[in-house]
Amino acid sequence: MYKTNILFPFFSIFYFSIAFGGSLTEIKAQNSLIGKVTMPKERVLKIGGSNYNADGLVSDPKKRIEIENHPDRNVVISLHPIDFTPMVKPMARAILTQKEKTFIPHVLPITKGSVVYISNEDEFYHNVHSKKPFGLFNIGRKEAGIDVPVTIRQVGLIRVACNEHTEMKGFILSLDTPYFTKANKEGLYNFPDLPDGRYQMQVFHPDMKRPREYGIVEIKNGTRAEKNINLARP
Amino acid sequence: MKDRSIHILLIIFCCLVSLQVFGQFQAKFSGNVDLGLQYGEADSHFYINGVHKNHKNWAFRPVEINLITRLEFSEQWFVNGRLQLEQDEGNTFDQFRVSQLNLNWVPDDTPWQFTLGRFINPFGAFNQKQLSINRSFIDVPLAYGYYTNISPYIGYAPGLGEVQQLSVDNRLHWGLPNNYYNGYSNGIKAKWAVKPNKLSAEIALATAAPLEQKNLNFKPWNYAVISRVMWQPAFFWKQGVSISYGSFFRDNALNAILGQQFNQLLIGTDFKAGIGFFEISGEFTWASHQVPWYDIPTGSYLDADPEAPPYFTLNNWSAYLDLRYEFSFLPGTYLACRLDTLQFGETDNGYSAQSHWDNNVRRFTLALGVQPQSFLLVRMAYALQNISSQNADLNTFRTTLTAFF
Repeated sequence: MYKTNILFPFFSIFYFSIAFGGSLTEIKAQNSLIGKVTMPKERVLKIGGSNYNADGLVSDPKKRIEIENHPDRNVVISLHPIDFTPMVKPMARAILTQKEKTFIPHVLPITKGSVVYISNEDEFYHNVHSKKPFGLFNIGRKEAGIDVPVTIRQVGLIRVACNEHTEMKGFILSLDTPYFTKANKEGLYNFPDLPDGRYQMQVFHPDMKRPREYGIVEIKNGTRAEKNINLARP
Repeated sequence: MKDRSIHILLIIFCCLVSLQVFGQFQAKFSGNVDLGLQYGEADSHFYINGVHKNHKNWAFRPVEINLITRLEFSEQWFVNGRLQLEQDEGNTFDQFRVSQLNLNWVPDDTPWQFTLGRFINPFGAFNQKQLSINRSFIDVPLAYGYYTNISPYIGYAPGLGEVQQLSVDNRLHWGLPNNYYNGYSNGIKAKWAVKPNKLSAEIALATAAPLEQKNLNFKPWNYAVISRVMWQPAFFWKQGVSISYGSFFRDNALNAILGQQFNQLLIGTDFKAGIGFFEISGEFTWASHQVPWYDIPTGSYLDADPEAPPYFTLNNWSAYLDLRYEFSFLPGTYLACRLDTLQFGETDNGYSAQSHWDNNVRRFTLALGVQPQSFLLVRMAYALQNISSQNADLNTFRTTLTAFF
């Protein structure tokens, strides 16, 4: 099991680059699950988020953040054991950063009981909160340089918003399993060294209302299983 | 007018469908529906305290429906639109408007944005909070919602609406607020992000001054220059300064003999500061109007001075201060209060017995907001209002339920 933190998606990408050289066929891990997520097509019509009267002036740093933080780079795949109860430990340090009026990462996967540090790197205050029924915290207006710890005790999807900048939306995905990862920019994902057993697979893309189940996978005796996920609409 | 609006909308709709078929853009939609329950005391009137006299006894009714869209053709070109169905000045729920429809161009690698069409008037802080979900209170500040004795048809008339009555197009006329609460302007606008998130400036060339309320009805030679500068002196503090100068008279037989336009100068400053769960914000506006003086009983204009231009200078100022506290243990819930006043200067000709050209107004509002779900906002507000020289009963209680997506 690995420790997941804010840099996890980047480590994940790094891992893929070295281990697989971009090809699924070269994988030599044991008891692992790999696959590719086909991302949904960019929607022509989007409900919500019209951000009334928003201007179009976007700074260069924000443009870069929007590319790195694109919803397609925030797809979380989680495996929920059916045959055993996994030991779920709180993560050592999970950080949700506000920068250029954006939550980074757009989706922060954590284990239940983890402390999320909400950090402001902008030169103005944000007013970050979550709402019922999934989460419940309100940190108020905080200046830059202050990390506000919030303990997430419940499992599920927590929508995070800023009262000051209504266009800011992010997610904390609190999981009851240590087996989760994010797909990299090519849509590839990898779960190395999984214990034997059957797992319910769940996938969350920011365009979804909640995580969706994508069937059961069984992994045992050094299986190198592969499961591709198609999020593209038919 | 309605036919023309429908035709325009049909054309817009056909264009959008065509563009969508060819996949040339991305369209984002959001909207809100507001339902309200209101009570107003005996002397309630929409132009005075925002509650229509026909709906002051615990009336439960729709307040507003908005459909908001943003069509993005590219990073450089996009359209902002807002279709609005609202009450006809507090009465019938039948006013359909295209409150915003503008084309925007953001030249590559520049801090500039140019806007053409109908956009939000950049003057002041409250204009930037056009949707109920952005407002702590239900009523609008006096500078935006209290109708003074200045009319776009005749200029100044003492006691307009209450004492002296003028009917235009079969409607009793009550004058204009300092800065019309629906806040739209037609024209062109440029925005300059001098220092992103720190300092910005806007300037608009519009077809009427901010007090004009339905500014599709403009004379071709009407104009207004509206500008605003916003900066952030500290992380917790935003400050704005706005200036506007422009004309606002509408074509009408009553003013045809004047042969000239009349102007409003509007200067304002606003601020917002917040820390923790507290926020304080406010706005000060000073208005000066150059208008003719119309005597409704005789149907004629008064001359200020045969040697001087045929107008009077009428000034007023307004200020409001909002305090808001958010409950840390109940995200989305807040308690807020507003102190608001509108003070009128003295008339300068001695024709009238009034020392001020309208009655001074004070209002205190207490509001509670609750957001039980991420798509629902419930607001309740009680307002105490007092008008000098009057013993009117104008207090109100209002509550609204806003559903939005």
